[in-house]
Amino acid sequence: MKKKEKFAKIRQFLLKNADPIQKEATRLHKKYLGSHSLRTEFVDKYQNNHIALIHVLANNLENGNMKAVANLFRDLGEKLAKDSVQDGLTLEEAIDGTIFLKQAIWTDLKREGLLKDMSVDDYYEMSQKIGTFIDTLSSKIAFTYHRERLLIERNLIYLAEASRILSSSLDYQTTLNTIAVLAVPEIGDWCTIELLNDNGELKQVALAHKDPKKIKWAKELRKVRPPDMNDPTGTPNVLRTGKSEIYPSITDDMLVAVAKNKKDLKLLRKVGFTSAITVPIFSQKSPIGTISFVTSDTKRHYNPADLVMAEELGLRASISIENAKLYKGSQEAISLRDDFIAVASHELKTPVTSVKMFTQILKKHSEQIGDQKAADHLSKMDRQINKLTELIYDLLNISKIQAGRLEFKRKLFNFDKAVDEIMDILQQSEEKHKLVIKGKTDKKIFGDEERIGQVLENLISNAIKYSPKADKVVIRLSAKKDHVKVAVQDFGIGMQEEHLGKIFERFYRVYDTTDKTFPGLGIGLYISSEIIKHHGGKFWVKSNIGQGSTFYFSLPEKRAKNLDIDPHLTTPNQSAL
Amino acid sequence: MMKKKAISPEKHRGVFVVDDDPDILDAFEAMLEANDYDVTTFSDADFLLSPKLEKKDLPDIILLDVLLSGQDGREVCKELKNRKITKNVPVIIVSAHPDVKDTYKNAGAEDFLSKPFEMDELIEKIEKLTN
Repeated sequence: MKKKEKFAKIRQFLLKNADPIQKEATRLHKKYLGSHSLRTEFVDKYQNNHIALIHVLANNLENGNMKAVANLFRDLGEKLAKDSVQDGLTLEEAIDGTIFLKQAIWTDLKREGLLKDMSVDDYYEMSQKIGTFIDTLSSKIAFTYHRERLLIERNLIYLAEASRILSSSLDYQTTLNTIAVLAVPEIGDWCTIELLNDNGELKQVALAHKDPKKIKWAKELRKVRPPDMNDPTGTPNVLRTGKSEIYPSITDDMLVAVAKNKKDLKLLRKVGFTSAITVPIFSQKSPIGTISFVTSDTKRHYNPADLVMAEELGLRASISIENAKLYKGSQEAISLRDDFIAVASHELKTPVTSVKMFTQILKKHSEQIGDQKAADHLSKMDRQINKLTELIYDLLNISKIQAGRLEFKRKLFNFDKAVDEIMDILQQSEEKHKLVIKGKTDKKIFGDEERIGQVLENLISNAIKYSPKADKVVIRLSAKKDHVKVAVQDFGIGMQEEHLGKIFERFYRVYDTTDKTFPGLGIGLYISSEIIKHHGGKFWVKSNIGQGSTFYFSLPEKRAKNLDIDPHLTTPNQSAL
Repeated sequence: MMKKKAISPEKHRGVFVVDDDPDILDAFEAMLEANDYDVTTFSDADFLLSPKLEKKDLPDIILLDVLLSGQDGREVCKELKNRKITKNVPVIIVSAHPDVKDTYKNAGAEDFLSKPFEMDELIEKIEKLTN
């Protein structure tokens, strides 16, 4: 029999028995390598793949063009590998059935007697062909499989890093730009991000390519063909539909189809497009922008796994932008409310100012004409006006505390110096009681100096108020390892133990033994304890009836860890009153 | 709008008060006159910012409220300090809003008065800046 006939017979045999041959290959694989068999859901698919392989092998046995056939197998191997990666197969599952294909083919051919009486040359030729084809196939499968897995890994690494960047800052203009630059060249040769601005115009917020020359062309391209919102494909389409687009393979014909004119086409070709993905960015469920990845130089072709990664990125970008908008909105709401408090504060204080001024004018006049009685009355009026002023202040403060909006200006300040300054001011207007400072802290405190001053003022004025017969108030400063402690002691009437727990409540007032209440709404201590609490400190009191009371507070030296404040988010120019 | 009084030779200090609240203007006028100041009251800063302002029109000190109709007193102050003719006239910024206490210096003002205030405090601040 001639070679041609012999080979034809072998071809026919292989075509007819492709299925049992590939089953035999699988059996041998399991026997010698002991792998698990392919998962049941894939058995049919891959059996058919392997049968197709054998068909191609058989049909090309007589083909003289080795290079063309090798290419065929190379492409087959690539397809098989990509399918496997997408199906999540292990490498073993991927090549299951192909590794022992050679062996299975030879065994069956021998058993059928199709190798008998072959010349040594013919035998050699056939074994070469079968061997080369199968080896090419296996090698291509393994290589492609590995490469595809690497690409997936790269995608995941990029996604993790991009997520970290997106959540690191509210400045999404910057973070979006960073993730675009990061994507080049591992994820694509190009990355662009576009967002609709407040006027509904599409703005390119990020454009990255490793070659600055190409960036220039891309910008030119955008100038020549500004985005047309009616385009049936690309960003305008994604914005309209909210659905992603993927072009695994972009041909020159496709470019010709979308080109608006010759210059446009020239630029498109210059920029280069091999494969592209465009995914939407959402805000409140509406598409407001897109992220696009394009390959040109690297000839990478995007697949569904790449699309999944890109869509996930789009989602995270959406969240990042949404967060930034929410924060801005809440800041605006806060500033609106502060405007209200500013206006209310002004409205209340204006008539009070007027009344106080006229009261003082009248008092001066009465003194000048010698009407002491009138002057005394007017003095009393003036004192009441001062109390009214204090109450307005306290009420506005409390409304801020209740809204959780009492804000603090924090800075590092010298504690002892701050205490001295406050003492000086308070002593100036206090004649009867001497304010005595004992000890020092030598510490710097990170906090709101003015508010802590308010606390001191409140405690000292209380001390004075509750010790009308005494002549001094003692302020003791001390420092521990990581905090300062302040004790304000008065030598007055003291308080019953039952009051001690309650005095920090909002409207609690202490009554003295003769049942005369001490004036003041009782807000001062509440506000003071809130201020100290906000600084991470403690506030407490000890008292003895007839001997006096001592109010204590402590402040941590460093910023308290349990304060949930990010210095970048505290606006420094906001204050209560 | 401005109310001008005849200047008497005994009155030694000229004070301009700018505030959009007429009751406050009345109170300032009464209080300052009771302390022998010559007072001119304004409900807005137009006169002080007018290009027709002459050196002889200038006061010894200006009390300037922060909340004026359609103007921010701090911006007015900045403008006054920018102009050659008014830049050497001391300005005390007046406000019920305590935030202003931190910003009066940035506006170029020499001092700050918070409402409500003691008469002594007002007089002391004026004297300090007009000696």
